[in-house]
Amino acid sequence: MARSGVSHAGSGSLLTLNHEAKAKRIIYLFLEGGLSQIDSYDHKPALEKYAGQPLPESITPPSFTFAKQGTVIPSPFQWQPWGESGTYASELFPEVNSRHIDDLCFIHSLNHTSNDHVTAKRVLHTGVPIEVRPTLGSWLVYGLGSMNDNLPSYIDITPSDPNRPTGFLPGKYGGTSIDRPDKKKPDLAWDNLKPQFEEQERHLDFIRQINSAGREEAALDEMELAFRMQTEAPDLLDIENESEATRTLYGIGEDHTDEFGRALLLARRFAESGVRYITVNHATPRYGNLWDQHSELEKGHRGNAHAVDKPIAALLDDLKVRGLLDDTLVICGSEFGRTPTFEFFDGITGRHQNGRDHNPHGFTTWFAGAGVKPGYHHGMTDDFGYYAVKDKVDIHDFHATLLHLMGIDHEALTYFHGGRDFRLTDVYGRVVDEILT
Amino acid sequence: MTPTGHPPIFRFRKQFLLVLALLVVSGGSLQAEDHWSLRAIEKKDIPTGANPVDHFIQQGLADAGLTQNPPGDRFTLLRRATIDLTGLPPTPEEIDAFGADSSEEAWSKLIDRLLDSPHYGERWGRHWLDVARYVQGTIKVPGVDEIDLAAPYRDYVVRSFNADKPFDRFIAEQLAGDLLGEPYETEQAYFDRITGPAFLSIGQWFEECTDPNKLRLDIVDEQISATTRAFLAMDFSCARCHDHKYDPIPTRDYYAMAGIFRSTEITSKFAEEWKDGRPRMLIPLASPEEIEDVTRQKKQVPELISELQKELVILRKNTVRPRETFPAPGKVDGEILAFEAEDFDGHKNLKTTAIGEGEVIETRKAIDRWVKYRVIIPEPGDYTLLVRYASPVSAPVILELDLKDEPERILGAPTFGSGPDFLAWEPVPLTNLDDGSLHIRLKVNPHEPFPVLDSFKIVRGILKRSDPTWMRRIGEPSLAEIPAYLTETEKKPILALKEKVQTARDSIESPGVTLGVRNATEMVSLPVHPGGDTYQTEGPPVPRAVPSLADQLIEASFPVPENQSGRVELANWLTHPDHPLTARVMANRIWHWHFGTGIVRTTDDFGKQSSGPTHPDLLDWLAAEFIESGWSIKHLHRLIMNSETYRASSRETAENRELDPDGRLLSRYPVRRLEVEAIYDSMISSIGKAARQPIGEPLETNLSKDRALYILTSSRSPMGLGLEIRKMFPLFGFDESGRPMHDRDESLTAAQSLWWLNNPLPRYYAEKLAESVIAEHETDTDRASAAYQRIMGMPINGQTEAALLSYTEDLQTHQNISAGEAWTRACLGLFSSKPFSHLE
Repeated sequence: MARSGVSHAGSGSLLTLNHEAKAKRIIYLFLEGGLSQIDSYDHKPALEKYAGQPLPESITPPSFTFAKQGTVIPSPFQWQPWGESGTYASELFPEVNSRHIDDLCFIHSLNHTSNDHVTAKRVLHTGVPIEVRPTLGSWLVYGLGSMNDNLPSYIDITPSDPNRPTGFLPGKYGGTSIDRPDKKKPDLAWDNLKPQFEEQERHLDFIRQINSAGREEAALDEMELAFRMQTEAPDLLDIENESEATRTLYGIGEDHTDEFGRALLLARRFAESGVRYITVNHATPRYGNLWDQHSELEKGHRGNAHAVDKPIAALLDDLKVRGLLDDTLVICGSEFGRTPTFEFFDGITGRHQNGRDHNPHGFTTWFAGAGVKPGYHHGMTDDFGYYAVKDKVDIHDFHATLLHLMGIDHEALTYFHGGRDFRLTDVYGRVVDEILT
Repeated sequence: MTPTGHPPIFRFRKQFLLVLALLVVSGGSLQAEDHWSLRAIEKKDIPTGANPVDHFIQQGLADAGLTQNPPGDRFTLLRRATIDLTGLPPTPEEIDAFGADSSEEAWSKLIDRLLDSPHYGERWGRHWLDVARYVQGTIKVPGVDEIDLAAPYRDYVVRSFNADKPFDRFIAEQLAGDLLGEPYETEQAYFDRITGPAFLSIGQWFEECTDPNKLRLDIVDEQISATTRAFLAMDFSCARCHDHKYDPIPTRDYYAMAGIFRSTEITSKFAEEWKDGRPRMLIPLASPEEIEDVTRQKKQVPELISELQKELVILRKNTVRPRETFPAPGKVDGEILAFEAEDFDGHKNLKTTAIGEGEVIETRKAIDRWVKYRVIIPEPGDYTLLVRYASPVSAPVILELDLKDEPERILGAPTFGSGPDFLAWEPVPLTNLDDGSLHIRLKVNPHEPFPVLDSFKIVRGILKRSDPTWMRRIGEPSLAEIPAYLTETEKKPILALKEKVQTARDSIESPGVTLGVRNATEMVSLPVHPGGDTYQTEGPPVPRAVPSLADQLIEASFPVPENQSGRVELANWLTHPDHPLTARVMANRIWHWHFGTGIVRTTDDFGKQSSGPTHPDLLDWLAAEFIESGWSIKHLHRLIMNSETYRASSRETAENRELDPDGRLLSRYPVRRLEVEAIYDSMISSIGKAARQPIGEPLETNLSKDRALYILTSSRSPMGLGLEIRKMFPLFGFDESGRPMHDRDESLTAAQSLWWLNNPLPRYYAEKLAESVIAEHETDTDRASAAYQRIMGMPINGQTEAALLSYTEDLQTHQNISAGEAWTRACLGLFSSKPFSHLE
């Protein structure tokens, strides 16, 4: 029954990895609602030129859109080259850009067809829009098992959907939610971890006696695991254990960055302790979709970016210093990007003309760390950043690449259900070799 | 039976390999009759007087060189059968009564009693609801958690199981109840027919899908998948894109069936644009006569309104116009700003519509409706917001200024129409404003009507409704504004009519509603969409028809008439006595729910990739018997539960573990974790919150509302713990996403253990139980015995008693813990134990 803490042999369905894993773990920073690619990392001078005009005929808008489409609006942000690579990016993320732009690997041509939040998020996390299927995190845990028997392998920090179902995979492959139980306090916690009473060892002993009465053996595995978690995890969750300097680095204690800073510092602590897949959602507690600027794009994006920029830069620094960035993959992106045109959200005349609609047809996500080329740009959208046009990467390609980085052949990881073998990538998916080191 | 002496499971695997080999050789085009589940059902003879279950199971065991365990302990068996059939543990009284009955028929009498319990339907109905993908409260009136639009369907299923409704009838009602035009004997029978088809409507589909053409096909696909998996244990949806890879399901069959569902409507409106809504169809839960009554009552209202309108026209012509002069429309004194309603700064769920010569905004959806304006106030002071609106009914709008709700509802009085002549100006005081920017939001509570809004003015000072001076400046009044120009006496007939309208409205007693379906006005046959692509078609439409996979066995044909969707024919085909799948699939499900694993493990897959039956002859025997008994589910329960196999103890021995590792040969009764409902209900039962209703009486759903089947939408959860109950469901393997649950996830997780240790919910029940056993019993021995019996549903044994007594004593004497807390922890420990959450 004795189990140690961090172990390296997993206990998943794959007995051996399909190939050497470049990444041992993934931290996925999810900016819920839709970061505008054309206001952050996909520079499009044509927006300026066509400001106030409809899109040219060469760009066919989709047959069905979320709202009536207006004319082109330019990016309200200043753009400049950053770092040694001279990567053009807007002023939205000054800390990340000035300290890490050359560490980032961009895919500018991610695309899918779900243009509402609910199905787009499902596509990003599970590969399919409507049916409920397991998330990438569940697949990873199912395939690879655990690196630390005293902790869950999949952690969802400040989730917008705390009960993300595991689809056809058994519940044990689900994510553990870390959220704010008390919205007035900044502390993050997970459900039922805090012991309600002392003397729990005696309590466990009692349960063991009941279980074994009249039976040959007592099964108490999960109870004991829970007990060990209860012992190990609270220390892990307590960021007071970190130095003042580290907390300052993450922006903890500053108004704007406190919340996301705490979440990211916690993400690093989990990564260090052997958690395989960590998502951190930047979302409003109730509705998610914080980045959904149908109107007042400038104000909304600026405020949101301000809240995450410093913590993200800190996370990358911190991982680097600890040598963790070598085998940790950090991903940052949204469920979709935004349109080059304004949306008729603000009145029939659209008099403000300052917001953008959803755009799943071509958007940007960046990667940093294990196994990806720093300073590399893959794929392109058209002149207006509307559609991916070159080296298109669909979600199955995206997932195939992530599995590949974790040492898994996406065609080999299957689960038999309802009469057939299911894969995260269905019958599709191509590893985007171009971005790999 | 098996010449090689291999247990059936190995025998099957060999067959399976053969099938696969054939598949490879023949390039995948395997004929239907090659596959076990598509051959005719064959009922083999068994020795006279033998129980068929024991006959086939024990034969399998003998082949494997195993013997079956002897019967389990009497009280373990009582708990097994009681939870299995009712989802509740035996009560202390039931334990005593069963203990005292030493007659030979004690067991069969117990089974009969449990099958007659109204709680049987709650347990077995829930099993079917898993297949039918019902989740409490997911199909609800948006924003109102307590309203579960699928609740009538849930209750219908429970009722049907309690009545042992023949399964063929149950299928017909769920697929085509609305089309079964025969006369009905009771109102209940009529309700069953109109409620059953909610089976087609409760699926999860994404109503806000922007592409309506794709959504239509997605809905049909969801229905096909749910239907074929439920009744045929084959998922036809694979054939949406291509011929099924393994099973005899060509794409043409898929689209032939798709036409049937495409010719059936499950929404009351299907807007092309998502924002305009695609609400599920609700039909009144009332007999045609009642509906006629209500319609008659409802007709009165517009009649009265039209009388009112006529009266106003006369008053305008004869009274107001002769004595008043109206200037050309102009500014009101003190007016600083005028703007149109459609010039908003933001909105939720509103749309712009042209009326008369202008435009107005009005509502799209039932919830979360507001419209926001930003204005600049030139200097501090009192102002009035003039709103021009129309609303046929009372529309209580709430005003929000700079994100703060104002206490008063500002609009509301009905204007008795929504056309241009029913727009009326209403003054809303805005007192003590600061200068600068002001956000004005108008909103309504969920489901309250939102008025039609036309235009606004902001005016200095406070204007009153009773003083029409300001109104005269705006121009000639609309009909709705006429009363403002009348004297009290002149107003009287108008007020009297308004009163009448109100009374007529209030007196309408609308019946309850249920999710319903109806045949579309035009029948549609769909062409094949290659690759499942909405916008690609291949060839002419495929005529609506039932699938072809049983053609070689069923001689009858089921042509779908031109003017019919084909749902009736589909039901007739499924329930034809020669159908190879329907009876096998349901007999297997019943077995699965009794033993935790089916004779075919994959209860939703009888295709070539399925696990195949461990005991094919038994499955066939049960299927044939099921049909012969008139599709009686309770008949199968009796057969199964009166067997030695069902009563075998669950004890594992070195021998049966080795030769029957997963228990599928039934050398022992397989221990399994209970579903979340049974765990929750056992907890509340221990504190007396699960009242047992009289045997043989119809179920009183209202008395059961504390139970897991209803708790999420009944607002009966203990104070502050509703959220914890909601979170308990998925934690214990309940998939709340609305996919069918053909098999519950029984995995044990550390998160569950943390829940038992530290969650306030089990602790709450443990505390209540501890309080009550302490109050009711004096000695610790009695307390231990009572607590154990109430939690576990069986008498305490020596070892357990010793453990309980030593634990509670230990806590009290050595840890200085109160008796209340010590017994709370002991009860909590019992809840957390394996014997509590498992069926042994």
